Amino acid sequence: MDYKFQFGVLADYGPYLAGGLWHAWWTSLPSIVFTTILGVMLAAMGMSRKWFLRGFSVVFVDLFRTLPVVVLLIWIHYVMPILTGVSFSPTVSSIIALSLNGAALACEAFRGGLEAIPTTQVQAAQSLGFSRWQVMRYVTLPQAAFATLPSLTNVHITVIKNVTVTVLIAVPEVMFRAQELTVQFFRPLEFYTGAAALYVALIWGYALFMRSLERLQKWQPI
Amino acid sequence: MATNLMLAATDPAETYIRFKDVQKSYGAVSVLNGISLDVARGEVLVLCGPSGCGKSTLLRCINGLEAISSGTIAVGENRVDGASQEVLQRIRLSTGFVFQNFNLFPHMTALENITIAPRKILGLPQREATAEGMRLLEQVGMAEKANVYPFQLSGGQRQRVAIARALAMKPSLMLFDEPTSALDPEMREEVLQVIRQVHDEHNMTMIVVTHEIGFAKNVASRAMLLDAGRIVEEAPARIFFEQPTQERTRRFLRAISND
Ligand SMILES: Nc1ncnc2c1ncn2[C@@H]1O[C@H](COP(=O)(O)OP(=O)(O)OP(=O)(O)O)[C@@H](O)[C@H]1O
Ligand SMILES: [Mg+2]
Repeated sequence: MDYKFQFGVLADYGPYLAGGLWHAWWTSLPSIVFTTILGVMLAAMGMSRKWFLRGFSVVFVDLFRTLPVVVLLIWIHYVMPILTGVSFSPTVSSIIALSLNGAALACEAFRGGLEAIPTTQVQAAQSLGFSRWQVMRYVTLPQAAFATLPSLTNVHITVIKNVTVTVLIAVPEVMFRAQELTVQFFRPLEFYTGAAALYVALIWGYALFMRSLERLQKWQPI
Repeated sequence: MATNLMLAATDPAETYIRFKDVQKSYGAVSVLNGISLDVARGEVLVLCGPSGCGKSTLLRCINGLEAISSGTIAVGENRVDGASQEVLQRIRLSTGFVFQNFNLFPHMTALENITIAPRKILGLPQREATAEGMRLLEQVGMAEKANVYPFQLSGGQRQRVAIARALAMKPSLMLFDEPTSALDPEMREEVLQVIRQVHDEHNMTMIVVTHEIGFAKNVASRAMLLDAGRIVEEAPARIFFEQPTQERTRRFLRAISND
């Protein structure tokens, strides 16, 4: 191996590379929010008494869990405009694709958490006169939220990792900039290592934040 | 609320709960086999019977947690079988249920457990609900534990909070499913005392599944033995426990006074 490391280029272009984190974050964060909200809604629909809501949940989850993110992304960004005439910016297309995929995963996580709540909790709430929707809103979901936190964190991390595929439609995040710089300076090792470090830092920081949420739980299951 | 008006205008002997030939089965397993039973307003009915005879099922059919297979159940002027969601909610709002394992909401403090239903279902403002909740906690001797989570309470304390939670909805009927059988003997009396007091203060209709003979003789107006989903014997409480007519009842009473 006669490659000579020149991490010096990172001193010059590191800030530009790191600037990609801004775009990575503003693609991740909305996707994480939509993933979570949609995931809860899908899990709730999956437990509905109305067959079409249950059916919608099943089809949605099966479709977007099996569809590769790259295919979904390209389809939304390049194919949908041909069909509908509606087109989105690369960032918006990315958020849509990552949210649809993430929601399918989050739904599974929430479903697991909700199913772990003992039915006696539901019976106690129903006996007080709570409707099915209120039982979920006030009794099962708040309890499931904490139990779901670790698996939800994994889903969110998957969403953040998936941001790297948006390089394909030129969202100027870290991977896109690493590619750009490599083409210009022929220093793939330095730039891609830098990109790796930046993503690891982002995900690590996020995981740390999520872990701190677990400490907000003041109660214990009984 | 409407239930209060109704209470004021009723004569004491009026039938409040009416079972007519009620059958309930889980698949092929038949649990209630033709129960017919009237409970008058203000009456306290004690229900005993061996494990698995259908006591819990009978209670759970009254507030529609379980649907019966045939027959009819009426609570007040509402039919439970075939009830719409609306009617079912009306029945549940006027019926408090106390479980063997308390079933407090673990993510809420004792006070929140009590105020959540009045606030979210009856739309009571937070301040009023809290004041009423504190009054109830005081009544069950739990005022100093208002802001404590259920995991920090003993079994007896949990059950007292659970009773207060049911009372917060101002029910006209209380169903107790073995309220003391998950408790250590020392804690039983504190819970029984609370139930007695609820009865004295509100003169509420109650069905209590329990094997506490002392309590039953004291508080109940009537007692009943259920076996294999049938009513074996039914009599005024004192007579039931002191001079039962059925051999099955005698055997059962011997068995529970031995442990
Ligand atoms: N959800 C259910 N599915 C199937 N069988 C059930 C179900 N719930 C209860 N059973 C059966 O119905 C019968 C009566 O149960 P139930 O809980 O009413 O008895 P119980 O008299 O309350 O007994 P225990 O004193 O043990 O509480 C039992 O044989 C039980 O196995
Ligand atoms: Mg039982």
